[in-house]
Amino acid sequence: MAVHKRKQKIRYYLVALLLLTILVAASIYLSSVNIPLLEPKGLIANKEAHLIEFAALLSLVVVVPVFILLFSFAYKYREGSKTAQYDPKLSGSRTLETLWWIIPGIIILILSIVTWNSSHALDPYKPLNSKNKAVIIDVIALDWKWLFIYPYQNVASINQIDIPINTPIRFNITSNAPMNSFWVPALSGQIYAMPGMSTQLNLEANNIGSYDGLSANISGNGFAGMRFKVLATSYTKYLAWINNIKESPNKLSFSTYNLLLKPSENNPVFYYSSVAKNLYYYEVSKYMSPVLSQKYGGNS
Amino acid sequence: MYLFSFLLLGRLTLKAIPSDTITRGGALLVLLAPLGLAALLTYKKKWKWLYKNWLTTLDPKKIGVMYIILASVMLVRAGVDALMMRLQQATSAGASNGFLSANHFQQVFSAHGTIMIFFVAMGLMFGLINLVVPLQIGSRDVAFPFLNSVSFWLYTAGLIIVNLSLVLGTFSIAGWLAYPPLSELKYSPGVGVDYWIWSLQIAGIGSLLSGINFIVTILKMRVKGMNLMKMPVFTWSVLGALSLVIFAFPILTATLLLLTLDRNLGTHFFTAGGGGNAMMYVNLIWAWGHPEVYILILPAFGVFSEVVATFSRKALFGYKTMVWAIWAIVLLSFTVWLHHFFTMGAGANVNAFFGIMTMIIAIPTGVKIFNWIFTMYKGRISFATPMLWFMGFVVLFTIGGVAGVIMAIPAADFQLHNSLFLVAHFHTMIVSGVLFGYFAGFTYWFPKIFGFKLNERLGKYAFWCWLVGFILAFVPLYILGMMGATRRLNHYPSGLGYQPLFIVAGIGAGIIALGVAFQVLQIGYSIYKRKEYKDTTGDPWNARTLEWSIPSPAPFYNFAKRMEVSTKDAFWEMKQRKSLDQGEYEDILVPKNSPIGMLIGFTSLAFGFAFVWHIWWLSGLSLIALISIVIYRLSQDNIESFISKDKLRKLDISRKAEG
Amino acid sequence: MSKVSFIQEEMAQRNEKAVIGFWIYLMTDCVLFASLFATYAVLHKNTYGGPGSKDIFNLPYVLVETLILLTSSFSAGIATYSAYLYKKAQTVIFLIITIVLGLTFLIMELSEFSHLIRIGDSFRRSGFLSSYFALVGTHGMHILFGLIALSVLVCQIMIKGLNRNVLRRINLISMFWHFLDVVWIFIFTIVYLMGVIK
Repeated sequence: MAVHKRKQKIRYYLVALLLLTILVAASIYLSSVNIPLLEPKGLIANKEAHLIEFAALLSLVVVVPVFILLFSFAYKYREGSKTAQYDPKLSGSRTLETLWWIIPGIIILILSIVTWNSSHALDPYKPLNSKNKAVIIDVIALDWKWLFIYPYQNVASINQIDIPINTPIRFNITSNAPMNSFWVPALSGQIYAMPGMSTQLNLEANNIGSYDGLSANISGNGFAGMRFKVLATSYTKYLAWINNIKESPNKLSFSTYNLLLKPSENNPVFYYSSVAKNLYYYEVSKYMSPVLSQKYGGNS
Repeated sequence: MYLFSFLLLGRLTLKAIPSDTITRGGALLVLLAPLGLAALLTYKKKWKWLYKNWLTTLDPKKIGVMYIILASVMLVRAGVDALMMRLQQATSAGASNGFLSANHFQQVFSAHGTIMIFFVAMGLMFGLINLVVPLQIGSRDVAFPFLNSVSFWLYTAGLIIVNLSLVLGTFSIAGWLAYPPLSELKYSPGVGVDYWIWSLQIAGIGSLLSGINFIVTILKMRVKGMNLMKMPVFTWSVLGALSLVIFAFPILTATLLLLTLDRNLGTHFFTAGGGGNAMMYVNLIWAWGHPEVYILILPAFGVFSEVVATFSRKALFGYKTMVWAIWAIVLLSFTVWLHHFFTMGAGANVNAFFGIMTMIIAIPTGVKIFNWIFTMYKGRISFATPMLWFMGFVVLFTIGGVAGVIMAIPAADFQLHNSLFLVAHFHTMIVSGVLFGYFAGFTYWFPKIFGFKLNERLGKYAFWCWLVGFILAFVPLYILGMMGATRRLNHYPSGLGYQPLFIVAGIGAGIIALGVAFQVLQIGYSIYKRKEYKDTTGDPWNARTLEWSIPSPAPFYNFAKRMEVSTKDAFWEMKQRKSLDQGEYEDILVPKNSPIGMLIGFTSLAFGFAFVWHIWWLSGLSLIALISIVIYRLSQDNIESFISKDKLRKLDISRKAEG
Repeated sequence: MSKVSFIQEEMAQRNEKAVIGFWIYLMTDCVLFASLFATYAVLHKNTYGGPGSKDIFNLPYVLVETLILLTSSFSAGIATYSAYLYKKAQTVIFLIITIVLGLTFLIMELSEFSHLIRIGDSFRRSGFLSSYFALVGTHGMHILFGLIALSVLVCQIMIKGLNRNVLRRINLISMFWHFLDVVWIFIFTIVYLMGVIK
């Protein structure tokens, strides 16, 4: 018996050691990689990260007691325990039952208030306050690439944008393909890109860097390759980037745009030094109203 | 020639036969499995036995067994899909493209989700409901035995259609819910989405009919004295789940119908352009889809309620609050569907409302968890396999629940939506909440149906493999989601640090597969040892509800005597008062076997298949056949056999002598 | 208990189950129509440059359709009543009247459809027309299945007489027919009346 017990003890130690090793290895690995949701580089993503952390911590108020109760009861009232009470007739307690309608209720009440406030504060449509003037970028999801149009700068690019830091950026987003979802995890949450509809996303980058953007909604064969780079730079570098595009010999007219609609995968970065007027509005309206889209696309 | 072929076979041509090795392998398996089975049956001269005892049966217990067999086969099939996805994602970084093409990978995950929900989870659920509900309420049968067989055969027809896509043509690439416009003709011109539509449509109508059937069974066929508040909690949960079925499934029927019209008649419900509205589809499908989650999970909650009480040898804690919690969940589950697409760009008020409603569902769920835990309090807990599944469920479900609460906050969901975090979350909920529940239920009620218990040791091995494998497979996905990895990626750049985590997840999936192997082994070994494991008492677990008051395996007439109960946990009370074997024998009617349910299944299969391939003559013909068969059945008069009480007494006494 | 009285009790119970089951079925059908009504509500402004509801509906024509369907519901009611009085001939006659009226309704509906398709306003024209055809067409499909069921029932009465099974079915089918009537009232109000007034 004693030998058996010692063997069991050794087994427990081994399992504990194994778990510890796994945990250490995992944390070493995780500290070496980039986790954008927990290391946000933008105003919105930062607030969203805090929200995630807050909700997770608050949930612990329920999770920890659940685990403690579960395992301590499981141990204490196990079959064969000689000391524990056995009361087969115990089938409820009004106080306790009321208690666990109320306690989760209170937590949910707190979370509901947070939800209500954060839904409004972090509404992707809400323009951001800043002393800097917002940069506007129109986004069209195509099969399978992202077309970015800077309507005021009259330039466009494929799969890359440059944004000045500490400046509000407003994206108008649509799709000329199946539904996609526009997502730059380091800077902000995502929003759908849908044909015939125009959604909005406001964000602001606070750190200089190059961030990954992607489509988060399956849209067909080339979906996995629909990645783009967001270059967050100083304002002067941003201007230089725009000027550099202006040098490009390629122009985005309605006819070159139509060529672009042909499905293609893993597209390299590409620049257009000018963009046909109202291209974005033409794209949005052509699925909704033939009359309206003729107005926007009539001069093509 | 071309015209002739089109008239005869629609768009079905030789090109439909798969060309690449992996698909061919799959096709071969799908073909060989039934062929091998057929050969075995012929060799053993068992066709007549199969036909008489199983295919034409109207006995809910046998129908339940058939549901579970098919669902288990599908668990393996969709499990192989999962392994393929894990292997692809573990190997497809940077320069390497893995072993699946993008298109093939997309078919695999679409099939995995579709089959797991419709043909594994739903199959296991209806299997258990068929096995247990009539017994638990002390009834001899369901309200409409023939309709029950129709439901089963419609489920089978849907199941065959989804698997046929491996042999002929391709499957949908649009995910398990086939969002338009990707699922519209413009972007998915092939047969894939049509396969998806018809397998769901046919199986879905089967589920709807089952829903009606069992609601009437529960409402009208309870044993004398069992009023609603004395019903076992499993039956309560089933009643809740099926109430959701009858409200949710018609929405699915309508939605699929509209998508069919879009794809075949050129209408504009969900198309991009033409005045269609794709987001309406997303709303409609989730107005069904979210209740669907609770349809699957409520009966599993019911299983846990039975299991915890039985294995703690104690009454369920807070019966009334349990029932209230079920109905709170039922009502609330129709008010939360929008949380599946906060990122659609609805206003802050709308998002906040649906977010808060979603969180409120956590309250009744939490109540249930506390009640289960306090059922253990002052109990005498024996850790048989069903109890282990319960413990695993509470741990995983609580963690998954936290992830769910986080994602219920719209602004947090913007970051987590469609990421692998979400994938990990819903797998945590469905694997622990649904699969673990049905595994527990299967082990628990197995002796009642087959007359012998399952091997405990192998069951425990299976449980630990599932638990450890699950943690290894899905914790990395939570982290990957935080790292910005989205779902459904067939390829990702190297240098993001994804690959090691995907490899760990792959290892986890392998361990789960080992768990499934142990489960198969467990059943095989227990059948081999069935004499040793025989349940002679009819009550192997010292349980509480009526189904355990009769011999195992349950006889075809369920209860020989007309009983009366006066309390909940009626059988436990009878045991306490030592007043077993009460009641009187009486005459009964037993429905005669009928092949018509099967015929209806196969004509529906022909109809769906023909529709997928545009073989219009065949779909027309099978529709007419279907209607004629139904009319024929409705004109049959002599559909039951009469068993007198004397005969029943003899049967019962000889049964008990055997036991 | 004798075998006969036992079977009678069993049949009474079966009747009860069938009626409850059928009510639940009708409820599910209600949800199906509710989904289609919702679809119509979402899409009825999406005319995509095509005609709107004001341009295509002919209210007097639909009013005649409505009256015919209401009358058929009435005759179905009389048929059920006669059946419970075991008046076989009367039951058959009123069922046939119901069938004729139902068929007239269906033909009128189909001719309205074919008229729209001929002038180019088919279900392919716009989201609005798609949803209109789907909603009204699904109701028409139900009417068609009801007519098939009524015809089968008439045959069963002729061959088997008014036995228990047949009586139960008359009851259920007449419930179904009244239900379709109610759905039509909603269609008439929401699709046609409100469509023309707005």
